[in-house]
Amino acid sequence: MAIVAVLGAALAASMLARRTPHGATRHLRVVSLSPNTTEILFAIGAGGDVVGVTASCDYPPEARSVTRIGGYGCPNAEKILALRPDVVVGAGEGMGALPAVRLLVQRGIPVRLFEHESFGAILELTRRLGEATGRQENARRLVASLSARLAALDERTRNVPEAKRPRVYVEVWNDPIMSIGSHSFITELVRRAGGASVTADLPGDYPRVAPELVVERDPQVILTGYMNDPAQAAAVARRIGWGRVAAARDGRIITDIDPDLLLRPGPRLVDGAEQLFRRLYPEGAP
Amino acid sequence: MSTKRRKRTHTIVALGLVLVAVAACAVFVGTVWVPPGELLARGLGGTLGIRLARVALGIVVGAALSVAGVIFQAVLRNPLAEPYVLGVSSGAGLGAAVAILTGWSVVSIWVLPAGAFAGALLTMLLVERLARIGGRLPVHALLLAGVVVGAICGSLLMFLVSTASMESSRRLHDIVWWLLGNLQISDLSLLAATAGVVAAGVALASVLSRDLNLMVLGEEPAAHLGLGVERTKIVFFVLGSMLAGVSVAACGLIGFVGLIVPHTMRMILGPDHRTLLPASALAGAVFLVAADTVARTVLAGSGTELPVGVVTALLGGPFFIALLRKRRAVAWM
Repeated sequence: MAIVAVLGAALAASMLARRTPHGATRHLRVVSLSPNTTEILFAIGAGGDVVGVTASCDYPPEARSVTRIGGYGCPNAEKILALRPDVVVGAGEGMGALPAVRLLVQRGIPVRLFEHESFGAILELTRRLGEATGRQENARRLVASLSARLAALDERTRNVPEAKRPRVYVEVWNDPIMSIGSHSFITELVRRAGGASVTADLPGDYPRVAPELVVERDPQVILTGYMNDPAQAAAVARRIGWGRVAAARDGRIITDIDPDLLLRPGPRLVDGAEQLFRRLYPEGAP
Repeated sequence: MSTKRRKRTHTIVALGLVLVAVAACAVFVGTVWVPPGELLARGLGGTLGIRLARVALGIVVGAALSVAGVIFQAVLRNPLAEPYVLGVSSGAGLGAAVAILTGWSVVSIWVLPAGAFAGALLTMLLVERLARIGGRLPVHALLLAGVVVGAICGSLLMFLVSTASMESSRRLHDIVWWLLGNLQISDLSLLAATAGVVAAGVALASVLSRDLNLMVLGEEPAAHLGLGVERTKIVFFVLGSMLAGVSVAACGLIGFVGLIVPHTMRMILGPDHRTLLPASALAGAVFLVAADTVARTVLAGSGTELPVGVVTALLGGPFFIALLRKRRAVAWM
């Protein structure tokens, strides 16, 4: 079964890497519709094939010089068509319903859309992008190294009892206050880092939450994902009614982890989980 | 005369008591159920503080919008006038959108309200300038200038929103959220500043409420009765716009309050602005606090709340229709 899949993928890749009339293979032309697929494409050595990215695709730095095809969640079909892509890739909920994406499909452009709301889905996404670009081996190596690091982290946090896990409140946006719900990969990230999200029971991925709900659940650590700015921590602690929250009292409001390591479902999410683990357990393993 | 005054005092006191009762109830319910004893025991530093601040903002903004509505309905002599009739909302919306789209609004909690207030202020000055004809400020010119400037600001806002969608859906979401209007407040000094301006405005309007009684007679009769009509118009134009402007700056667009509350109070209490104005301030506060309590609790199951702007029309509309049907002949002034 696996062999069939690999053969199929290899066949697809060889078909995609079309030959020019002179017989030399020319580069695949890939357009990426989301920052995380862009990041993964570069991480598996397919960066040279990427001919179009969104305005939000800012990592790695080389991605910034690639032609922009609109924003994340609002791609421009004309710009994409003008780039004559062999394949268009993207990840995120609802992307298939975007008018621009529908138009591409109608025009017969191969569009590959993926889920990314869990670590498993992100590893799978990496593998599939490897297949789509003929970089299976690179993708396999990246997945193996990420999986090994995740396994090492799990080893240290898996057995932490519920009561000993720091209660973590992740704020992905401040006005209105938005947090992470049961469907978000960030809830999984917090768990893998040895914490427990105080909003893990809320429905959806990024629910708006009432401020009093956060205060009542008394998080021990607050993580802001919209800005790395120390002033932000002070602003959160100064909010009306937030002064007695454990995290504010103990000064455990983390604003200095790069938001992209926490919010962008790509390979650096593992760095985010590792960094958060070190911040949750400054004295080492629990 | 003295019985009239006593009746007025009774009305104000009764409304004041209703406000206290509604506010007290509002403090004890919310998205999360906390037993009242526990809530009080833990003091102002927690959920109690959050709810008190929110109820306070509801009182302040409800009063401001209602008084602004009373003022504009009287001065413009138009039953459809409401706090945003002269374009203040569109101007403020434009200011807020600029603050959000430039990314400055995340720098400080004051940037968004300041942007919205600056927008409201600029719109107000522009409307005044456009409506001024030969040293006078005709009511129809004010209304037209307000509508036109409002429409222009509205299309500029649309323009910003439509171009923004290419870059940042999150900022777009912020603008929409702001436009829906909500009473979430996290900063005590912002609350204090809003309350200060509104208290001063409502107090001044109450002192001058007799002039509104003359204004509704028409400008000529008012002038014959010794009122400086042009000066009065300017004073109330600035007063109404300031009240609307600070409300919008603090919590976005909250519709319906400023239109419905003055009419309702006029139906119940009659057209004397010496009663109508303070009564509308109190009733507006009651209405907005009640609407916000619904907004805070209706989605409690999912840990979230509605923007109060969504609730005001849904709650106020049917109530107003019922009132209209009960009293078919309505003297709106």
